[in-house]
Amino acid sequence: MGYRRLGEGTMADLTQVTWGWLLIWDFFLAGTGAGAYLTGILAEFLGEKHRVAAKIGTFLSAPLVIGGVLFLMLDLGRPERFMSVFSNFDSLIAIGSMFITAFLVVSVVHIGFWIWPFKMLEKANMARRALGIVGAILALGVMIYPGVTMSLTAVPLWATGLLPLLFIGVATLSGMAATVLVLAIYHARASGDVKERAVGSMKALATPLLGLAVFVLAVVFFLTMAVANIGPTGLESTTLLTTGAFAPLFWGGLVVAGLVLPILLLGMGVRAAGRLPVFAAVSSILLLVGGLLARFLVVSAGISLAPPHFAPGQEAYFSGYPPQFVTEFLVDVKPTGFDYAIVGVFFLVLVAAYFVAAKIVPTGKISTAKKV
Amino acid sequence: MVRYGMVIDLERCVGCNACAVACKQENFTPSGVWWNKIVIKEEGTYPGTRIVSTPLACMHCDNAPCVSVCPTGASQKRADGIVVVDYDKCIGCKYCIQACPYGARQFMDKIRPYYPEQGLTPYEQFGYAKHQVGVVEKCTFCSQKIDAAAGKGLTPGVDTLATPACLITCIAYARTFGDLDDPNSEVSKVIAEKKARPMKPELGTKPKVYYVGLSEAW
Repeated sequence: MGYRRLGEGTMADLTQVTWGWLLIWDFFLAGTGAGAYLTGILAEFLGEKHRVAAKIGTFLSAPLVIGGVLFLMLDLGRPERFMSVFSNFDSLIAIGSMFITAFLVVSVVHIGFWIWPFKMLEKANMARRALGIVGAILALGVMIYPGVTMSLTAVPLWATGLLPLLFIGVATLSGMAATVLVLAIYHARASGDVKERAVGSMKALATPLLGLAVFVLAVVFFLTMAVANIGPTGLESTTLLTTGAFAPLFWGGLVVAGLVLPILLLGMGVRAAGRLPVFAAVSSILLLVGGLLARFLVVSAGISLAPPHFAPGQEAYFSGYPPQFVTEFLVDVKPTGFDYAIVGVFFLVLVAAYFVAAKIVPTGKISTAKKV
Repeated sequence: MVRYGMVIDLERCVGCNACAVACKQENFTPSGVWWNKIVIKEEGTYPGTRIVSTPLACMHCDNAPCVSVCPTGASQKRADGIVVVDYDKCIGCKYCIQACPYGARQFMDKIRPYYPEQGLTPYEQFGYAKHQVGVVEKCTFCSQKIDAAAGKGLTPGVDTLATPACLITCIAYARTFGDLDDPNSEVSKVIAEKKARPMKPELGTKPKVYYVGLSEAW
């Protein structure tokens, strides 16, 4: 694919350059936060022995979503005016922002149940679960809204009912993977009875994690198939993903490394119970990278139905001529080295974080426990 | 009720780009910002090929997707049907750019001068004060001219002072502007006589810019 010539076949000669990494990180962090919260609620309802998993999921939720909101605000042209986002409730961005705000309130209150000044509330299981149900509904809103938002655009790759489904699947998957990763770190540092319980929680979460990965794989498959049949512009997006410039990241990154490999590893881990923590950690890291890639690919391979337009700064492509007078103009639709670097660095950071947190840096308490 | 619209006769258009330049002069759009642009395409197969120029700007849709997706209400449709962006309300989320199937909108990430090595010229300093960084912009049907002429007995589309700049400058008289709700207006007559059609009507956006002789490829 690479460079495109204006006027060849279709009018879609420009991939969308409007939304990029800032929004991708927002989708990833907010979705992962909401997914982690959902995982926490699931663990909470699974019973008292999964208390640690419930805590981890809940504690991950609000910080991750706040991180996402920060990226979202950085993406705005006028971040200082963000409060006016709650003006037109016909707009899905307004509705989504409301979901995010409400979710943040509920999840922060929920975290409050576990920490020091309100520690006495820890025993209030009923209240916490009731709050959890409200929070879970709001979390679903946080997870689905980017997909619904993107489906109301002039970009055929996004404008299908499958995209909200993909976003729900990927967000739950990333959130659960994040929870399992932290659980694996916790397991590596804990000892005795707690260690066993962590393995039990990992075992309980491994099956839904595996199921979700299979579900996301299926949605990705149907999405690319469905979009290819919408029309020429949709077909171009599918081509870009499956055989074009994004194919290495799509097949190698998302499908194989991000979904199939973790599915196999999880399956093996569940069978060989002794090795489950390591297998779960590795597959969680891969699933998280796959989750980031899924959002990157969906956002980047979107081709608008709109006739070519010239974003500010694009004159660089016209070697000195104003775009008005150029009949042939070149647009690079390849993933850049920067894109590869972000995904690679994210993977390395996760691996390093796992090794540092799980093995290398001992805290006093755990090292004494090991000595004993 | 007034409902402004335009018809562009591509059978008259010579592809001179004068409308794009007139638009820049009237609206002081900085370097790289084009509210009105001409897309030049090659059509047909050899030897029956030809170059077709199609001016593109905001279609001022009656059912504008950009207006319904705008979270702040900055994108709005005025009572006379013109779709405008309130720069003071826009937060620059760029959702409207993604929603518009005509590529009419542009994000103003920064103001680029035409002569970067010598800074802004006095003309640019004056003109760029009308723009804001970090917001989304697009064609306004020169609503500032229509507003300024209101109550002076001038008819937009007939009197120069109340008519979009692209139309006044057009050397081929390819453009006609006026009230679509008035069956006797020039624009309504041209649409009826020449069977003009809007671009991508199947999307249900109900554009108020019509084209005569629009290629099927659009």
